[in-house]
Amino acid sequence: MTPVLPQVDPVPWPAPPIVFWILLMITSTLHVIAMNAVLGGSIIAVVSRWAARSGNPHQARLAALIGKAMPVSIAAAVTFGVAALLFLQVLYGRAFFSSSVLMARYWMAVIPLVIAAYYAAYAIARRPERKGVALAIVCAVALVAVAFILSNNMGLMLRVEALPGLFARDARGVHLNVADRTMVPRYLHVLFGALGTAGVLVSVFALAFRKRDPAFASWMILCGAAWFAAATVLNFPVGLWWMGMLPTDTLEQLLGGNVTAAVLLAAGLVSILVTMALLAVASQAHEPAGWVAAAAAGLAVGLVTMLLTRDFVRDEALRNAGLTPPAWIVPQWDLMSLFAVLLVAAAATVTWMILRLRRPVSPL
Amino acid sequence: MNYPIWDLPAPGLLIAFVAIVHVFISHFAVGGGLFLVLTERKARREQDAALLAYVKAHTRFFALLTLVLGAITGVGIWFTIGLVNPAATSSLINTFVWGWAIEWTFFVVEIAAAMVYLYGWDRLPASTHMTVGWIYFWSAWLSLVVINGILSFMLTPGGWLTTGSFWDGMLNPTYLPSVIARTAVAVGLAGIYALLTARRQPDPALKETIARYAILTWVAPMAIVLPLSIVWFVVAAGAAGVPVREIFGAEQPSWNAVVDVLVRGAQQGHPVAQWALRASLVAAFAALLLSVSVLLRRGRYGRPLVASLMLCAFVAFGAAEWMREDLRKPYVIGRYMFVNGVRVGNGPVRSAAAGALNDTFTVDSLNATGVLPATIWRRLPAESALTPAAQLAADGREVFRVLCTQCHTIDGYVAIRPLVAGASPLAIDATLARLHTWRGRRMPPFTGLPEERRALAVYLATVGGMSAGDAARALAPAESEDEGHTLFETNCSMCHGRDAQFPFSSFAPRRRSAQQLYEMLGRLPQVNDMMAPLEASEAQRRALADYLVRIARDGKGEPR
Repeated sequence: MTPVLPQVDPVPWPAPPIVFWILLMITSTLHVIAMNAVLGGSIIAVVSRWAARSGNPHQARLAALIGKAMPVSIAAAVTFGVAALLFLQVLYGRAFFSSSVLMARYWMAVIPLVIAAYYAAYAIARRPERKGVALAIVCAVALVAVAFILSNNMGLMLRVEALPGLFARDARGVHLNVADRTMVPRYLHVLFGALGTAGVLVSVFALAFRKRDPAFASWMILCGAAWFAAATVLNFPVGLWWMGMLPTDTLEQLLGGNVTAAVLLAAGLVSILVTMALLAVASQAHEPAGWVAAAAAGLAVGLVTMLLTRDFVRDEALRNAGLTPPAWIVPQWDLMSLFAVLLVAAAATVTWMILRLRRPVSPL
Repeated sequence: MNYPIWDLPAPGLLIAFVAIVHVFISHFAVGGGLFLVLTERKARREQDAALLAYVKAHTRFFALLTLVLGAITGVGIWFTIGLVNPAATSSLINTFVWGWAIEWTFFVVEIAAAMVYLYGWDRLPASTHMTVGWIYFWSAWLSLVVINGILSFMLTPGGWLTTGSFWDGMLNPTYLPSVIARTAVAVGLAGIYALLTARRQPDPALKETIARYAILTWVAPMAIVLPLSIVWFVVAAGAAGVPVREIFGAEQPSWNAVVDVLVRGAQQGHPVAQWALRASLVAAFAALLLSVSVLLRRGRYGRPLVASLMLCAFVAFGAAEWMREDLRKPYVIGRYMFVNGVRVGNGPVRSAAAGALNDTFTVDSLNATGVLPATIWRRLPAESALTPAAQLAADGREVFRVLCTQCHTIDGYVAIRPLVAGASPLAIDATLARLHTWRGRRMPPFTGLPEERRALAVYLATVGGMSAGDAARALAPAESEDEGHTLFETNCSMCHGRDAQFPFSSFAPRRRSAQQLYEMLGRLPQVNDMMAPLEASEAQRRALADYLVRIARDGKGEPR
């Protein structure tokens, strides 16, 4: 059989695959939450700014709030994304590097696009109350484009058997994953998922205004719930479309052939439905805090289970193509321990700094 | 090879562009952090409200530049190296993934601290604000400390080659001088960037204060420490096996010889490294003069002067990084992997897993099996569509793409066409066979089957202007071919052909007898150390000498 994957690198892996997999899942989850906030938030901000032109003060205020939060959110998305990229390259580098080269021109375009979105976000955050929509559109369009490119690469890397043929046709790095039937539903799923998550986050942030401005807080909860509901209603058929485009074997596994995968998928669907119901209740409740918190927890469960389901699909595709972990592993336990200690220290330091920043203003 | 090769002219230039922009900002991100917290402390101690206001304004510039352009171009380097050299990136990740993970923890703190420092100016007590500043600086510097280990490893992997140990690789022979050099650069850049924001201050007295402070406290230490640490770095690299003297083209193993080459130029060694070192030294000297000029002009410095200073610093630093990269050639990981992804076939992989892994991409494996059968990433036309000669050239083009395009373009950067213009396939083939020693150019050896090498020679001859048919025929010399002519073509004409860089006719051959030439051919490295010994029998040497006399006498010049 002609190999379709690059050979295993002869330098041994410095940890068992499970360690990298756990770290990939954790960092991916954190990245996806932040990325959803950024991508979905940027679109909601554009719509809110547009709606604010008709004189709705709540919309203007929401757009300003998102504008203020955007630089920090982008920083979080990038920071967690870098870590996820590192562990992804260890686990799936043989497929990922190949697909990245095949779409190299688009892949490199991610960098200037993120820079453009980031600077636009800082410009908005400097004067979040200004009424213009142009910068918000620049930010959102750049992020939507970035999501499109990343979604393409995540899909293209699964089609390892097609990559040598694509390369033989054109090696200039111009291949998007357009021939893949899953490409469109995958991307739409990402977009609607981001909008839904951002909607829930809008509802969560509303809790900060409950005492200062209850009317605005109620409106935000309702607004966030509406965004989540609309995005989710669209995302269910898109999800089914995506599933329908999966290889038959993989689909059968998800539909019960593999109990773990089927449970994960079902749990994800249920938790998203529960989240929608909780938000609906929250938007009508006099004391919505508990309901919103429960909805956020439901969404977190939904995101994690969906990510695990996606990982199952990825693992199926790559395993079928022959990508298995190398046999030669020389664990660097001392370094893993050092990393763990430093990670805890970093989390503690960041928490301490943020908590200090949230204290009442002190004179210099 | 093992991974697809992005068809991009001179991909190394893309890495250089992204990397140089990134390091010019990321080193500022380290030194600038120290500058912020120390200058804030100075302003508070001296109760200098104007200086404090300046530091606050400088913080915003610092954050906008380092958090966005600095951080995202850092991700850009990740993207770029993965696209341009995935094999090396994969090896580095397998070796240093925990180093990068540890560095990431510092990066997280660095990003968070930068934001808290920025937003904390009006919200944190002074002592807490400065504590955050210190947290920022130390996390940024520790991030540099880790990444420096991986960068210096790529030049001098040290004990890792035999042990495979992370720590042997990280704390390699050039690690310490490199940390000191980079820290010095970070401190110096902090001073230079400070002038960039200070130039907009309306108060001339404050501008003068900042200029004196920035240059005397920040730039001056760099001017002293950096040259010393670079000398230490170069000596350490030399001791670790990097042929520094040869790369700079110095004929004697002395600093005087290196300086002499830098001033007068060299015919051998690595021209790009020599050019980069010259550019770096000139720009650094200019930056020093401009810094003195800022001092002398007191508070009267504006955009042109500061922009010139920034530009000189950028060129000096960028060219120095370029030179460091070129010192590594022909390897991407020193003595382990060549820049085209071919592994030397040594190192911890060989010693610890002999027999466990069948590494197809070592020099020995590729010489045994061929480079085209080894790669799944081929772009060969259907055989039936071409004549045999055209097929040979097409194979050669593919071999060129797989083995050579990491560095060479056809007509652009490190162009191949001028090197092969008018050259015979025989001469090219012979040069390919001894590529790794050819004129001290620091090339990887040709790896592949002899027929792949010949195909490459045919392709390069077509690049040089010959038709594929003529090139293919020329590689199969007729039986009646003059042996002296064949020997000249094979061994001499690449450099001494009629249109080559040093044509034989330029050495006054008419004054030399066949006996003299015969004797010189026996000691070529003594005649000029760029020349390899002639590997030929006595009779062949005699035939070549006779041929040289003949072409000199006929006055027709020598063929190429």
